Amino acid sequence: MNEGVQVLLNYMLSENVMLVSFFGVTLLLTETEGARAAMKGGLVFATAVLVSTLVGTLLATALPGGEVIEMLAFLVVSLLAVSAIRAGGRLTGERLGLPAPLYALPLLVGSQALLTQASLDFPLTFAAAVGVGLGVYIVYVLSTSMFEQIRLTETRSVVKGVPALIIALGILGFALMGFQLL
Amino acid sequence: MNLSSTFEKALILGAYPLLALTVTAYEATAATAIVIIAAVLAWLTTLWLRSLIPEPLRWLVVVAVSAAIALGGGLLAPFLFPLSTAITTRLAVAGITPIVFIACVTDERETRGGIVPTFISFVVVMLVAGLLREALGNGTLFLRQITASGTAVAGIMGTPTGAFLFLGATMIVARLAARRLVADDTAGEAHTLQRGKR
Repeated sequence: MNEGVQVLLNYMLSENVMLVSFFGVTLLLTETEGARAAMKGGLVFATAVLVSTLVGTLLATALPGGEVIEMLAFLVVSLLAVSAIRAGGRLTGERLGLPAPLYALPLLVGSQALLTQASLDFPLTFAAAVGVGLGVYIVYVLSTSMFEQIRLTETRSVVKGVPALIIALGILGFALMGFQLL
Repeated sequence: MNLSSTFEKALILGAYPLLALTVTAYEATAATAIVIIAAVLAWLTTLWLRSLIPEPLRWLVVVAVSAAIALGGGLLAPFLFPLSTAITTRLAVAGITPIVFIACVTDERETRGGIVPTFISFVVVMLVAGLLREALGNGTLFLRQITASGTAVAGIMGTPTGAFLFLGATMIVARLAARRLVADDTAGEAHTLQRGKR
Protein backbone atom coordinates (compact mmCIF):
# COMPACT_ATOMS: atom_id res chain seq x y z
CA MET A 1 0.00 0.00 0.00
CA ASN A 2 1.19 3.52 -0.81
CA GLU A 3 2.75 5.16 2.29
CA GLY A 4 0.58 8.27 1.98
CA VAL A 5 -2.62 6.22 1.83
CA GLN A 6 -1.47 4.20 4.82
CA VAL A 7 -0.81 7.38 6.85
CA LEU A 8 -4.20 8.80 5.78
CA LEU A 9 -6.02 5.61 6.84
CA ASN A 10 -4.08 5.45 10.10
CA TYR A 11 -5.06 8.97 11.15
CA MET A 12 -8.63 8.48 9.92
CA LEU A 13 -9.19 5.17 11.73
CA SER A 14 -6.68 3.65 14.13
CA GLU A 15 -5.35 7.00 15.43
CA ASN A 16 -8.63 8.87 15.20
CA VAL A 17 -8.34 12.13 17.13
CA MET A 18 -11.93 11.96 18.35
CA LEU A 19 -12.11 8.43 19.75
CA VAL A 20 -8.58 7.07 20.08
CA SER A 21 -6.71 10.24 21.12
CA PHE A 22 -9.81 11.64 22.89
CA PHE A 23 -9.15 15.24 21.86
CA GLY A 24 -12.58 15.71 20.27
CA VAL A 25 -14.71 14.10 22.96
CA THR A 26 -15.87 17.39 24.48
CA LEU A 27 -17.10 18.50 21.08
CA LEU A 28 -18.95 15.21 20.53
CA LEU A 29 -20.69 15.43 23.89
CA THR A 30 -21.73 19.07 23.64
CA GLU A 31 -22.58 19.52 19.94
CA THR A 32 -25.56 17.19 19.71
CA GLU A 33 -27.46 18.53 16.73
CA GLY A 34 -29.61 16.10 14.69
CA ALA A 35 -28.13 13.60 12.27
CA ARG A 36 -29.23 15.51 9.17
CA ALA A 37 -27.75 18.81 10.38
CA ALA A 38 -24.56 16.98 11.39
CA MET A 39 -23.85 16.09 7.77
CA LYS A 40 -23.32 19.81 7.11
CA GLY A 41 -21.96 20.76 10.54
CA GLY A 42 -19.45 17.94 10.43
CA LEU A 43 -18.07 19.32 7.17
CA VAL A 44 -17.42 22.69 8.83
CA PHE A 45 -15.60 21.10 11.79
CA ALA A 46 -13.67 18.65 9.60
CA THR A 47 -12.50 21.41 7.24
CA ALA A 48 -11.46 23.61 10.16
CA VAL A 49 -9.52 20.74 11.74
CA LEU A 50 -7.88 19.78 8.43
CA VAL A 51 -6.72 23.32 7.63
CA SER A 52 -5.64 24.17 11.19
CA THR A 53 -3.76 20.88 11.58
CA LEU A 54 -1.90 21.41 8.33
CA VAL A 55 -1.09 25.08 8.99
CA GLY A 56 -0.20 24.53 12.66
CA THR A 57 2.06 21.56 11.97
CA LEU A 58 3.89 23.36 9.16
CA LEU A 59 4.26 26.50 11.31
CA ALA A 60 5.62 24.48 14.23
CA THR A 61 8.15 22.82 11.94
CA ALA A 62 9.23 26.10 10.37
CA LEU A 63 9.43 28.22 13.54
CA PRO A 64 12.57 28.04 15.66
CA GLY A 65 12.28 28.21 19.47
CA GLY A 66 11.06 24.86 20.79
CA GLU A 67 7.87 23.77 22.47
CA VAL A 68 6.77 27.14 23.88
CA ILE A 69 6.68 28.76 20.42
CA GLU A 70 5.04 25.62 19.03
CA MET A 71 2.27 25.79 21.64
CA LEU A 72 1.75 29.50 20.94
CA ALA A 73 1.47 28.77 17.21
CA PHE A 74 -1.05 26.00 17.89
CA LEU A 75 -3.14 28.31 20.05
CA VAL A 76 -3.14 31.17 17.53
CA VAL A 77 -4.06 28.84 14.66
CA SER A 78 -6.78 27.20 16.79
CA LEU A 79 -8.30 30.53 17.79
CA LEU A 80 -8.37 31.60 14.13
CA ALA A 81 -10.04 28.29 13.22
CA VAL A 82 -12.62 28.78 15.98
CA SER A 83 -13.32 32.31 14.68
CA ALA A 84 -13.85 30.86 11.19
CA ILE A 85 -16.23 28.21 12.55
CA ARG A 86 -18.17 30.88 14.46
CA ALA A 87 -18.37 33.00 11.32
CA GLY A 88 -20.06 30.00 9.67
CA GLY A 89 -22.76 30.07 12.37
CA ARG A 90 -21.47 27.16 14.51
CA LEU A 91 -20.14 27.13 18.09
CA THR A 92 -22.29 30.06 19.13
CA GLY A 93 -23.80 30.55 22.58
CA GLU A 94 -22.97 28.51 25.66
CA ARG A 95 -22.79 24.82 26.55
CA LEU A 96 -22.92 23.80 30.26
CA GLY A 97 -22.24 27.38 31.26
CA LEU A 98 -19.15 27.95 29.11
CA PRO A 99 -18.69 29.62 25.71
CA ALA A 100 -19.14 26.92 23.03
CA PRO A 101 -15.82 27.64 21.21
CA LEU A 102 -13.86 26.42 24.25
CA TYR A 103 -15.03 22.87 23.60
CA ALA A 104 -13.36 22.81 20.18
CA LEU A 105 -9.94 23.91 21.47
CA PRO A 106 -8.70 20.49 22.75
CA LEU A 107 -9.50 18.98 19.34
CA LEU A 108 -7.81 21.74 17.34
CA VAL A 109 -4.69 22.09 19.51
CA GLY A 110 -4.43 18.34 20.14
CA SER A 111 -4.52 17.45 16.42
CA GLN A 112 -1.69 19.87 15.69
CA ALA A 113 0.39 18.60 18.63
CA LEU A 114 -0.19 14.99 17.57
CA LEU A 115 1.00 15.56 14.01
CA THR A 116 3.95 17.72 15.04
CA GLN A 117 5.07 14.94 17.39
CA ALA A 118 4.91 12.46 14.49
CA SER A 119 7.58 14.51 12.57
CA LEU A 120 6.38 13.58 9.08
CA ASP A 121 7.59 15.20 5.85
CA PHE A 122 5.24 17.55 3.92
CA PRO A 123 3.43 15.04 1.64
CA LEU A 124 2.82 12.69 4.57
CA THR A 125 1.77 15.59 6.83
CA PHE A 126 -0.78 16.55 4.19
CA ALA A 127 -2.05 12.95 3.99
CA ALA A 128 -2.22 12.78 7.79
CA ALA A 129 -4.13 16.10 8.00
CA VAL A 130 -6.65 14.84 5.43
CA GLY A 131 -6.96 11.62 7.47
CA VAL A 132 -7.56 13.63 10.67
CA GLY A 133 -10.24 15.74 8.92
CA LEU A 134 -12.00 12.68 7.47
CA GLY A 135 -11.81 10.93 10.84
CA VAL A 136 -13.42 13.93 12.55
CA TYR A 137 -16.23 14.03 9.95
CA ILE A 138 -17.03 10.31 10.13
CA VAL A 139 -17.06 10.16 13.92
CA TYR A 140 -19.02 13.42 14.27
CA VAL A 141 -21.78 12.24 11.93
CA LEU A 142 -21.87 8.75 13.47
CA SER A 143 -21.93 10.15 17.00
CA THR A 144 -24.77 12.62 16.37
CA SER A 145 -26.76 9.90 14.58
CA MET A 146 -26.27 7.54 17.50
CA PHE A 147 -27.28 10.24 19.99
CA GLU A 148 -30.45 10.99 18.02
CA GLN A 149 -31.30 7.29 17.99
CA ILE A 150 -30.60 6.97 21.72
CA ARG A 151 -32.89 9.93 22.44
CA LEU A 152 -35.74 8.25 20.55
CA THR A 153 -35.23 4.85 22.15
CA GLU A 154 -37.46 3.79 25.03
CA THR A 155 -35.09 2.77 27.80
CA ARG A 156 -34.44 3.53 31.47
CA SER A 157 -33.47 7.13 32.15
CA VAL A 158 -30.37 5.96 34.05
CA VAL A 159 -28.83 4.70 30.82
CA LYS A 160 -30.48 7.03 28.33
CA GLY A 161 -28.51 9.92 26.83
CA VAL A 162 -24.84 10.51 27.54
CA PRO A 163 -23.96 7.16 29.27
CA ALA A 164 -25.36 5.11 26.37
CA LEU A 165 -23.59 7.37 23.87
CA ILE A 166 -20.27 7.04 25.72
CA ILE A 167 -20.41 3.25 25.81
CA ALA A 168 -21.39 3.18 22.12
CA LEU A 169 -18.45 5.50 21.32
CA GLY A 170 -16.14 3.18 23.28
CA ILE A 171 -17.21 0.20 21.22
CA LEU A 172 -16.82 2.27 18.04
CA GLY A 173 -13.33 3.29 19.25
CA PHE A 174 -12.33 -0.37 19.65
CA ALA A 175 -13.57 -1.07 16.13
CA LEU A 176 -11.45 1.79 14.77
CA MET A 177 -8.37 0.64 16.70
CA GLY A 178 -8.75 -2.74 15.02
CA PHE A 179 -7.65 -1.16 11.74
CA GLN A 180 -4.07 -0.97 13.04
CA LEU A 181 -3.44 -4.16 11.12
CA LEU A 182 -3.57 -2.24 7.84
CA MET B 1 -29.76 16.69 45.29
CA ASN B 2 -27.95 17.36 42.04
CA LEU B 3 -25.10 14.86 42.41
CA SER B 4 -25.60 13.29 39.02
CA SER B 5 -25.26 16.49 36.98
CA THR B 6 -22.23 17.77 38.92
CA PHE B 7 -20.54 14.44 38.55
CA GLU B 8 -21.36 14.20 34.85
CA LYS B 9 -20.11 17.72 34.33
CA ALA B 10 -16.77 16.78 35.88
CA LEU B 11 -16.56 13.71 33.68
CA ILE B 12 -17.52 15.44 30.45
CA LEU B 13 -15.53 18.63 30.92
CA GLY B 14 -12.51 17.29 32.72
CA ALA B 15 -11.89 13.60 32.61
CA TYR B 16 -12.62 12.69 29.00
CA PRO B 17 -10.12 14.95 27.27
CA LEU B 18 -7.36 13.64 29.55
CA LEU B 19 -8.11 9.95 29.58
CA ALA B 20 -6.01 9.06 26.57
CA LEU B 21 -2.91 9.91 28.59
CA THR B 22 -3.82 8.59 32.01
CA VAL B 23 -3.34 4.88 31.61
CA THR B 24 -1.16 4.65 34.74
CA ALA B 25 -1.60 6.06 38.24
CA TYR B 26 1.47 8.33 37.82
CA GLU B 27 0.11 9.75 34.56
CA ALA B 28 -3.28 10.34 36.18
CA THR B 29 -1.67 12.13 39.14
CA ALA B 30 0.45 14.34 36.86
CA ALA B 31 -2.48 15.27 34.61
CA THR B 32 -4.76 15.99 37.58
CA ALA B 33 -2.14 18.18 39.28
CA ILE B 34 -1.51 20.17 36.09
CA VAL B 35 -5.22 20.75 35.47
CA ILE B 36 -5.90 21.87 39.04
CA ILE B 37 -2.92 24.26 39.11
CA ALA B 38 -3.85 25.66 35.68
CA ALA B 39 -7.47 26.08 36.78
CA VAL B 40 -6.62 27.90 40.01
CA LEU B 41 -4.13 30.25 38.35
CA ALA B 42 -6.44 30.92 35.39
CA TRP B 43 -9.25 31.68 37.85
CA LEU B 44 -7.03 34.12 39.77
CA THR B 45 -6.07 35.77 36.47
CA THR B 46 -9.75 36.16 35.59
CA LEU B 47 -10.49 37.74 38.95
CA TRP B 48 -7.62 40.14 38.47
CA LEU B 49 -8.57 41.00 34.89
CA ARG B 50 -12.34 41.18 35.39
CA SER B 51 -12.46 44.95 35.59
CA LEU B 52 -9.61 45.64 33.16
CA ILE B 53 -10.39 43.58 30.06
CA PRO B 54 -13.74 43.18 28.24
CA GLU B 55 -15.40 39.73 28.02
CA PRO B 56 -14.20 38.28 24.66
CA LEU B 57 -10.57 39.36 25.21
CA ARG B 58 -10.65 38.01 28.76
CA TRP B 59 -11.28 34.50 27.47
CA LEU B 60 -8.30 34.78 25.13
CA VAL B 61 -6.07 35.78 28.05
CA VAL B 62 -7.41 32.93 30.18
CA VAL B 63 -6.81 30.42 27.37
CA ALA B 64 -3.24 31.69 26.93
CA VAL B 65 -2.52 31.63 30.69
CA SER B 66 -3.88 28.12 31.24
CA ALA B 67 -2.10 26.78 28.15
CA ALA B 68 1.19 28.32 29.28
CA ILE B 69 0.85 26.82 32.78
CA ALA B 70 -0.01 23.40 31.38
CA LEU B 71 2.91 23.57 28.96
CA GLY B 72 5.27 24.36 31.83
CA GLY B 73 3.70 21.59 33.91
CA GLY B 74 3.97 19.15 31.01
CA LEU B 75 7.66 19.90 30.62
CA LEU B 76 8.31 19.65 34.39
CA ALA B 77 6.21 16.54 35.05
CA PRO B 78 8.74 13.95 33.74
CA PHE B 79 11.23 15.24 36.36
CA LEU B 80 8.71 14.65 39.17
CA PHE B 81 6.99 11.46 37.99
CA PRO B 82 8.29 8.47 36.02
CA LEU B 83 6.60 9.38 32.72
CA SER B 84 7.50 8.74 29.10
CA THR B 85 8.73 11.76 27.13
CA ALA B 86 5.97 11.20 24.56
CA ILE B 87 3.39 12.24 27.13
CA THR B 88 4.63 15.81 27.63
CA THR B 89 2.94 17.13 24.48
CA ARG B 90 -0.34 15.62 25.58
CA LEU B 91 0.01 16.99 29.10
CA ALA B 92 0.45 20.44 27.56
CA VAL B 93 -3.05 20.11 26.12
CA ALA B 94 -4.35 19.54 29.67
CA GLY B 95 -4.46 23.30 30.21
CA ILE B 96 -7.10 23.79 27.56
CA THR B 97 -9.48 21.12 28.80
CA PRO B 98 -12.75 22.90 29.53
CA ILE B 99 -12.76 22.08 33.24
CA VAL B 100 -10.03 24.69 33.62
CA PHE B 101 -12.46 27.29 32.36
CA ILE B 102 -15.16 26.35 34.84
CA ALA B 103 -13.06 28.20 37.38
CA CYS B 104 -13.28 31.28 35.19
CA VAL B 105 -17.05 31.31 34.70
CA THR B 106 -18.27 34.66 35.92
CA ASP B 107 -21.71 33.40 36.93
CA GLU B 108 -21.80 33.77 40.72
CA ARG B 109 -24.21 30.84 41.15
CA GLU B 110 -21.84 28.61 39.21
CA THR B 111 -18.79 29.72 41.18
CA ARG B 112 -20.40 29.23 44.59
CA GLY B 113 -22.43 26.06 44.12
CA GLY B 114 -20.72 24.09 41.41
CA ILE B 115 -17.00 24.51 41.38
CA VAL B 116 -15.86 22.65 44.50
CA PRO B 117 -17.93 19.46 44.05
CA THR B 118 -17.08 19.48 40.33
CA PHE B 119 -13.35 19.64 40.98
CA ILE B 120 -13.52 17.03 43.78
CA SER B 121 -15.42 14.69 41.44
CA PHE B 122 -12.83 15.35 38.74
CA VAL B 123 -9.88 14.53 41.02
CA VAL B 124 -11.51 11.36 42.40
CA VAL B 125 -12.49 10.10 38.94
CA MET B 126 -9.06 10.78 37.44
CA LEU B 127 -7.18 9.04 40.26
CA VAL B 128 -9.53 6.06 40.51
CA ALA B 129 -9.52 5.68 36.71
CA GLY B 130 -5.71 5.81 36.66
CA LEU B 131 -5.37 3.22 39.43
CA LEU B 132 -7.98 0.83 38.06
CA ARG B 133 -6.83 1.10 34.46
CA GLU B 134 -3.20 0.51 35.39
CA ALA B 135 -4.12 -2.49 37.56
CA LEU B 136 -6.52 -4.04 35.07
CA GLY B 137 -4.84 -2.96 31.84
CA ASN B 138 -1.15 -3.34 32.66
CA GLY B 139 -1.15 -5.63 35.72
CA THR B 140 0.87 -3.03 37.66
CA LEU B 141 0.22 -0.39 40.33
CA PHE B 142 2.51 2.66 40.40
CA LEU B 143 4.64 0.68 37.91
CA ARG B 144 5.04 -2.24 40.38
CA GLN B 145 3.88 -5.61 39.17
CA ILE B 146 0.82 -6.87 41.07
CA THR B 147 -0.21 -9.92 39.05
CA ALA B 148 1.76 -13.12 39.57
CA SER B 149 2.52 -13.84 35.94
CA GLY B 150 2.85 -10.20 34.86
CA THR B 151 -0.15 -10.47 32.58
CA ALA B 152 -2.94 -7.91 32.45
CA VAL B 153 -6.32 -8.96 33.84
CA ALA B 154 -8.19 -6.91 31.23
CA GLY B 155 -5.74 -5.48 28.73
CA ILE B 156 -8.60 -3.66 27.04
CA MET B 157 -8.77 -1.20 29.98
CA GLY B 158 -5.22 -0.07 29.30
CA THR B 159 -6.19 1.32 25.90
CA PRO B 160 -7.51 4.87 25.59
CA THR B 161 -10.88 3.69 24.38
CA GLY B 162 -11.19 1.35 27.39
CA ALA B 163 -11.73 4.52 29.38
CA PHE B 164 -14.99 5.12 27.55
CA LEU B 165 -16.42 1.90 28.98
CA PHE B 166 -15.08 2.68 32.46
CA LEU B 167 -16.60 6.15 32.52
CA GLY B 168 -19.85 5.12 30.87
CA ALA B 169 -20.30 2.57 33.64
CA THR B 170 -19.24 5.15 36.27
CA MET B 171 -21.85 7.58 34.99
CA ILE B 172 -24.60 4.94 35.19
CA VAL B 173 -23.58 4.07 38.78
CA ALA B 174 -23.59 7.79 39.69
CA ARG B 175 -27.08 8.21 38.24
CA LEU B 176 -28.33 5.16 40.14
CA ALA B 177 -26.79 6.51 43.35
CA ALA B 178 -28.33 9.95 42.79
CA ARG B 179 -31.72 8.39 42.11
CA ARG B 180 -31.46 6.31 45.30
CA LEU B 181 -30.50 9.39 47.34
CA VAL B 182 -33.49 11.29 45.98
CA ALA B 183 -35.74 8.30 46.75
CA ASP B 184 -34.35 8.09 50.30
CA ASP B 185 -34.91 11.85 50.81
CA THR B 186 -38.48 11.58 49.54
CA ALA B 187 -39.18 8.54 51.73
CA GLY B 188 -37.67 10.33 54.73
CA GLU B 189 -39.81 13.42 54.14
CA ALA B 190 -42.97 11.30 53.75
CA HIS B 191 -42.16 9.45 56.99
CA THR B 192 -41.67 12.75 58.86
CA LEU B 193 -44.96 14.10 57.50
CA GLN B 194 -46.83 10.95 58.56
CA ARG B 195 -45.38 11.16 62.09
CA GLY B 196 -46.36 14.81 62.23
CA LYS B 197 -49.98 14.00 61.33
CA ARG B 198 -50.16 11.33 64.05
